[in-house]
Order: sequence, then structure tokens, then C-alpha cells
Amino acid sequence: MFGPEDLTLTPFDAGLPSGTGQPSEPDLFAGETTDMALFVRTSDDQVVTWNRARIVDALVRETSIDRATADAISLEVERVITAARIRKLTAALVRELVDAKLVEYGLESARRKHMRLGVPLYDVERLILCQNKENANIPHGPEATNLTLAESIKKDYALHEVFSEDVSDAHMRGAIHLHDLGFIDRPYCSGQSLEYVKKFGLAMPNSLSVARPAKHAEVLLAHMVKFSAALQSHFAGAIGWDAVNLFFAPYIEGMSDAGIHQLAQMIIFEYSQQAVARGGQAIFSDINLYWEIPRHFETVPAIGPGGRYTGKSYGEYGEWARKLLWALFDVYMEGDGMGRPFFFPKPLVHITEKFFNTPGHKDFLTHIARCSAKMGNTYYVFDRGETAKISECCRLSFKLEKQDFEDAREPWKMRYSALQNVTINLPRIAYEANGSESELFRGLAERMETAARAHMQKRYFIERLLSFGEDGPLALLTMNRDGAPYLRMNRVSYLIGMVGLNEMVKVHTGHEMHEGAPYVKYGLKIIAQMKLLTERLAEKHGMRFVLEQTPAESTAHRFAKLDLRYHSPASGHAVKGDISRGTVYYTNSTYIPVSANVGPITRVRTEGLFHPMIEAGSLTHIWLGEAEPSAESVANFVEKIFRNTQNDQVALSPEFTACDGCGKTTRGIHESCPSCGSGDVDAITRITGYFTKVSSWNKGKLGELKDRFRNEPFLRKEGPGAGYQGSASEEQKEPETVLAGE
Amino acid sequence: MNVKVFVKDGCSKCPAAKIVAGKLKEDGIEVQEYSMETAEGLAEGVFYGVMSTPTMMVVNGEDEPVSAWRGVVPAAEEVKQAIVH
Ligand SMILES: [Zn+2]
Repeated sequence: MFGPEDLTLTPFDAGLPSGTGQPSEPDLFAGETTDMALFVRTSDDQVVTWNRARIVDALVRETSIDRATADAISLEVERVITAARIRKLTAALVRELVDAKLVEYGLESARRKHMRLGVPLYDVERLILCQNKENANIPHGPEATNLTLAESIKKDYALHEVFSEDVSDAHMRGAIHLHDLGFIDRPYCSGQSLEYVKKFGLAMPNSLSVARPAKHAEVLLAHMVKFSAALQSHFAGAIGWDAVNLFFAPYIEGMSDAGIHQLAQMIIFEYSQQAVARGGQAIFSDINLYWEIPRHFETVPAIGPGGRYTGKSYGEYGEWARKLLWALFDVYMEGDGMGRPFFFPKPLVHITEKFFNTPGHKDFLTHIARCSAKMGNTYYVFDRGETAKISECCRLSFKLEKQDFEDAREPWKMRYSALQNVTINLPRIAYEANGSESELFRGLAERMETAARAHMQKRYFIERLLSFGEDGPLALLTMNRDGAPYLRMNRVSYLIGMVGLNEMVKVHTGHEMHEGAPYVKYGLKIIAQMKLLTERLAEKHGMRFVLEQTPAESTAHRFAKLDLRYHSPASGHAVKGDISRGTVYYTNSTYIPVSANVGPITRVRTEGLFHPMIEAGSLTHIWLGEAEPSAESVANFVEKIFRNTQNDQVALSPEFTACDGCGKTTRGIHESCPSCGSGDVDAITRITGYFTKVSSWNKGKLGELKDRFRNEPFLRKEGPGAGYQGSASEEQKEPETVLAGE
Repeated sequence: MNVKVFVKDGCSKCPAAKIVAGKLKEDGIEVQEYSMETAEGLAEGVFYGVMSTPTMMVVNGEDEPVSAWRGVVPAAEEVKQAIVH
């Protein structure tokens, strides 16, 4: 008989760490005894006696094969087990043996239905012990490993069950990338209005208590943060809030400056310290902010304490909205307790024509420019012309359409979501086209079709989950407080992203995009074609497909690695980074290479050429390195961008070294602390769309960090190429300082 | 110097712009016509910041815009003037 040690359960059979919802096989081997003195450990912590009939039952129940075949397979498996004198059986092993038989029988589709999703012992141990570098926003810890393990099973499930074989294969080969497969049962990102929380309080399905609309600013903040956390557990990506300072304004009318500063501090600390939420991952949060009152909110009746109308319109709350906004940037400028920049929430300041007609805008622009230069937090979102836009999640911005303006009268209705993000590996298409332009465009169209199919399959799956209503897995998203479910499926977008436009152009034309106007134009032509294809696909399928600049934190590395495997030697000349060290990557989305020796204005202008075609938001990064330009020159630079380019969004990224020895934060990335010499330091800068510790980065991003052109020449008063006014081809025409140091 | 014309299907003033383009061609001026509904045309349009159709643009030897008419149709003479200067 077995000793107690034989009953020790491996993580496998026992199910993964408790509470992860590992599908169990409860009755597979339960029941009557046979003459075999054999016991099986099941996945729900039971030891049961061997019974061949359970194999037959499982095969018939889970696959479509007939009972006679199932019986034959079970007999053969029993023979194998007997012959091998296996004494310690697990349900997992039995299943593997059965699957092997199904392969022998040529019953491939039955095997797919019968297979087990799980993680090898070796991998589980590594996950528990080592840091996950797929997403630098996930710290290492028990919550994080739970998340990763659950994700790996859901990912397998998605690739086998949600997506068709051609779509899954395209992902596995690295022709496309299906983002957030581990979050297959959630939409991608969500953007909403604080008005929803102000009007309806916090009354979520399945919640233990119901909170009525907040009466005080602090309570409103608590509701907002809790709702963000609830949303984070229903969406894979970013949670964005619109016009936060404006919607807080009715709650702070008459508050002292000290009180407002305190509130601003609470807003930022609450979000930046939410790393206790899902999988130990901070809520990827965006707060959209306005110095002016956006025109579409001017005459909208304001909601105040208790969820009641204040009798005034938002147009009358400018002063208080601006006070809060100013205070928020005071807090960003101070940084956290160690003087490091806050990683979250990301402040997105919208600059419109009206901004420049709003009192105090000059001082305010200098204020946020100082924060930009010193800490890097500020994102400048440029909403030119008459079209209003809202930035939602993951830089996803929507131009407001007629329906949105109607919704704006009742701003709690303004909630938007992108259901999924699929990214296309552009250099791959160029390798395959082998210099033929018609092949290049044919390949592009084919990949776009695949992406559209992936979106249809995800939509079908999410709709299935939603169909269970408030009793189902996505109850929160079906809650209906205003005549429509929280997630308005008829309004969602489907994102199609791209990685490595620059390398695609290089492979096809022999030149990188920053090397001359014809190459930028070639890049524009590719994106123009993608834009036209999304429009055609949208019309054909009645779905809102839009182009997005994929943040591609790990995808840029994954595509480069896979192309080195499948398209060598051509790919060896195209990928960026160091092949011998494995720190390879492609240039993100439609960017010009991070290493390109071009000034900030040229970069902003050239990258901005693509932005009008990329509906779901775009961003240009200016890497500052150690340099700290003056607030005035940054403010001036920002106004120039608004006036003279088509760029949608810009952020300046400094680098820092935070010392765990003396607690000081210094400018620039250093091996050891310049202040006390301690080697116990963390380098901090922006990875893609957010700040994080460099030690958590994946290899591709480390390669990129090394290559980043840090604009130092442009930050010195008379640096070469400083100041550029003309078109992309005449870099050094007018020597003028663009971003002068102090 | 040459002239770039950006047009689109269903844009009300575009036929008039095409007529002007035709006249300029007859007078031996190099004219390139771009449809914003093709990848090539859209790319070229975006490169020159074309936000409305029709747009007519005179560009110099370095492909830099010298003058432009956005959303309006100039007389052929007006365009020729811009080319001379
Ligand atoms: Zn130190």
C-alpha cells in the first residue's frame, strides 16, 4: 500500500495555487474498484481507485468519438499502465496517455478537444522564483505569479478554443500578435467619465455593499479608485478617466488652497500605490485634464455632492477645475517620498485652440513644462481644429462624432472601450515580398484580413460571456443603470496595430525612414494602405476597426526574435539591437528609429505625419537622458508643435537613478549612486507609455534603451543641428535652440 | 516647379480643380494628380498636410511647397503666377 508521502500532491494534480479556477476532473476515476490495486490522484485533491470506464466516459463526453473506439483506447491505455508497472498515477498522466493514443489513432480533432491545459512543473517553479519580464508593470510576488499562471492557461484556451486555427497559427508564427491572450475573457481597455460614479454611486453587481453618490470630494475619490480597481479586473489594459479636474470641480468649490493640494496629493498617491490590486499590478490609469472648459461640456449641467445637479453648468467651474489641475502638477513635480516620478496615474493634458484663449494658460503651460523637464510626467495631447477628442485607454483617443456630442449632454454615458488589439509584424511582410511591391501590398491585405477575423472571433466570445447577463462572468459590464449596459458593444473599437514600419521600409527600399523624404513617403504609403483597408473592412463587417500605435512592450522583441529564426539572413540586417546578446527589437509602430540622430522638432514633425491616419491615438517620445531643458524652452517647443505639426501627442522622458542606500534620486542612469556611491540603485525611465524600473525590462527593451538618442546636442545652446524649422529634409537650416538648458 | 492636385470622389469642387489642372498641363506645366482614396495619394496628401479636398500646391525643385490653395479652386492664371515667382 501507499505511504502518506505518496499522497503528496504536485501543483499539477492539485490544481494550481488555490482559487485560480483550474478546471477539475472530479469524476474521471471515481467509483467502483477493479482488480487493479491502483490509485489515481485527481485534480481536486482526491485519491480514487482505477476505473477504465472513466476514460471511456470522458472521451465520449468531451470529444465526438464513438463508445467502441473509446473503449478500445481505454483498454490499450490500461495495458500500457499495467505493463509499465506504474504505481503512482495522476489524472494528468492518464490524460496524456489517452491523448497519445488519440494521436496514434489519427483522431487529431478529438485530441484537441480532450487535451489538458497546464504548465510544466519546471515552468511553475521558475515563475514562482523568478521575475516575469513580459510586462514591466507587474512586480514579482505571489499575486503576480498567480496572475501569470492563470494567464498561461487562459492563453492556451484562447489559442485553441476562441480563435480559428489559421488565426492562432499566424500568432504562433509571429506574423501577427494577439495581445492579452491571458485576458481572453475581458475586453482590452476602458475609458469613462467620473459622472457615472457621481450620479450612480458605487453599486456594482455582486458587491457586498452599495454606496450612494458621494457627498465629499474624498469620498468621490474613494469611489473612483474602487471603481477603477473593479474595472481593472474586467479589462486587460488601461483604465482612463475623462476631464477629471473639471468633474471634480463642483466638489471643491470654496475649498482652501491647502485642501485642494491635499486632495491632489490623495488622487495621485491613491493611484500610484494601487499595486495591491490585480496580480500586484498597478492600475494602468490615465487621467485626462483640461485647462480650458472643453466646448462640449460648457453648457452641460454640473453634477455635485450627493449626485444632484448644482444648478450651474460646467462652464461656470473653470476657476476650480484650474485650481485642482495646478495642484495636481505641484504634486507630480514633488515626486514620491523618494523624489522619484510617479508612475501612475498618467496625466494627459489636452491642448486645444481654446487653451490659448483661456486665462493663465501661459503660466500653466510653463508649470507643466517644468514638470515635463524635471519629472517627465506630462503628456501633451494636441486636439487641433474644431474636432474635440477624448483620450481614453492606452493612448486610444476618439474623435467625437455626432452621437458622442449627444452623449456629452449626459456625460455618464460617455464610456468607450476597445475590445482587442491585434498587431501586424510589418518587416515579416517585407521579407516575404522579397522586393516585389505587389507582393508587399498583397501580404499586407492578407494580414489585415487575418486581424479582422481575430477581432470577429474575440467579439463572438465576449458576446457569449455577456449573454449570461448579471449572473455571468462579466456581470459588471452588463450592469444597466442608464438604459444601456456599462459596456456598450455597439460602440466598441477593434484595434489594428503595427510594429516595425521603419524596418519594413528598410528591407523593401534599403533605407530607413529618417534617411530621406522618399523613405518617409514610402512609410506613409504603407500606413495609408492600412488605413484604407481598415475602412473597407469596417464597412464589410460593420465593426469599427481603427489603426493604433501598438505600445508593443514585448511584441517588438518577440517579432524580431521570430524573424531571426524564420527569415535569416535578411532579418539579421534589419533587426535593431545586439544579436549576440539577444537584445533585439524592431522600432515601435510608425516611429523613426530611437537611435536616429534627428532633433526633437524633426522627430515630432516626421512622426506626426503619420498621426492623422492613426485614429486610435499616437505619441512621440522625446528622450532626454540626463539633460534638463528649461521650462520656458519646453513650453515654447510645445506651442510650436501645436501650431506647426500634425503630431497628436508628445511626452518628454528623462532618466533617473533612485538609490536605495541613501534614498536620493539623481538625474541620468548611473551604475552607482552619484551621491553616496552605493551600488544598490534602480534606474528609472519610460519603457513604452509609462515609467518603470529598468531592472524589470525585457531584453528587447534593454536593447532599445541602449540605442535611444537622447537629444543631448539639441539641449546644449549651440549644438549641431539644434533648432530645425523646415521640412524633414533640411535638418540644419536655421541654427536655433529648440530645447535649451538653463 | 510643378503642381500637385489632391482630389477625392464625391467632393463638390474637385471637378473644377481637375479642369484647372488640365489647363495647366496644356500649357506645358508638370501636374501630378493624387486621389486621396489611393494609398499613394493619401500618403502624398498627408506628407503635405492636406486636410481638405481639393488642394492645389505649387512645389519647388526640392519638393517643398511654395504656395497652396486648400479647399478652394484657384484660376489657372493664379497658379501660373505662383510658379513664376
Ligand atoms: Zn545614494
